[in-house]
Amino acid sequence: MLQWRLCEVMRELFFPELKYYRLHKMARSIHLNAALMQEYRRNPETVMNAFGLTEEEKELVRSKDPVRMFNAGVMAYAIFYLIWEAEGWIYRPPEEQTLYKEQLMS
Amino acid sequence: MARFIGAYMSSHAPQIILQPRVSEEYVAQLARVHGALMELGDRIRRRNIDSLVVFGSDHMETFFLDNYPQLLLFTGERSSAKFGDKEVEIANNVELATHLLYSLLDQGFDVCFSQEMRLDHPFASPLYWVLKTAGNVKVIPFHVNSNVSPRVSPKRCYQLGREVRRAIESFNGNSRVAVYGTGGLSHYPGTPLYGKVDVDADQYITAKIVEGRGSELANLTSKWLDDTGNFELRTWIAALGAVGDVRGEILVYERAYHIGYCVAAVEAV
Repeated sequence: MLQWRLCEVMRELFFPELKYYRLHKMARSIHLNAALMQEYRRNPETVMNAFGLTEEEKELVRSKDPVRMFNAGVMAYAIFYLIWEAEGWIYRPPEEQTLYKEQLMS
Repeated sequence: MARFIGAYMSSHAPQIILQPRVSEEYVAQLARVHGALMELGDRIRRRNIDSLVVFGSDHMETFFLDNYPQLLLFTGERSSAKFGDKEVEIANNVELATHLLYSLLDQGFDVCFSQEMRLDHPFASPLYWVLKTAGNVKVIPFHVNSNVSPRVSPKRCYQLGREVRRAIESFNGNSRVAVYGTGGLSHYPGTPLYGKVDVDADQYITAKIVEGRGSELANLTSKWLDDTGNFELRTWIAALGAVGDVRGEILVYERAYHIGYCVAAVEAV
């Protein structure tokens, strides 16, 4: 059931929902600008305010929960930039940075 | 007239250039991928290829949602990308790029163009290694949207590749030109499936390339590409459209913790 639900969501994987335009713009800017990434790590609220994020968007970003963000419809690459890059997951051991666990899907 | 030499294809994950040392096994896998990319570069040099049309797909890096192209040719002179202490610079073949633009428009492909464009990992990540050994080759970046929906259909990508080859072969001069598709194979970045790699799907794709049946990949649906994490195969399909059904080689396949890394070559002559 879980696999089916995720696959259904996957079909919308790369559609950038208009309601998250600000969030996507912030995530991309953090990805491209090392100084902004440092500022975001020090003071995420300041950066979120600078990009005019809504309270719903701020809650999603504060959660630092990629599954929650994905299920809410945030673009997968924005999640990658905010979690795997800004939170440094990309440098963690594989078992700590991967979400898919085969035993859950069988 | 210019001569078409062949098609090369490889993964482009940012880890190829960032090289995170997340495990001993991963470091070894990346080393093998780097070796295969430099082998591609060596082939490019040995075959005297002077221009490389690189099909890559932006990930909301070079472009953003204020203006997002489906197909875009870089027609400026130079471009670059920076990753920490590593920099990738390319020089374009402006005459050939402009010829491609006009030819494709004549053939019904409404391709955008840019004269100033910053590269990002879909181009820079593999080219950092390929250009170490490729010699003095010009690079023509060609964005084929695979990563921001809605996207170009696989069938259309194949048709695009065929037209690119026709355009190359109608270009005046003695250029020796190859195409290069970057992306994949199976991976699910930024999703709850991150860590899944559909090895069966990857083996299906690599078998088609080895058997010289790349045209069959044009019949894959967008849904199949998404379900198997192979959405970036669009750039490979474009490259295969250019070279046609010629038997190819897989230089490396590595099932890493987050992706199926692959490097392939299909040489026409």
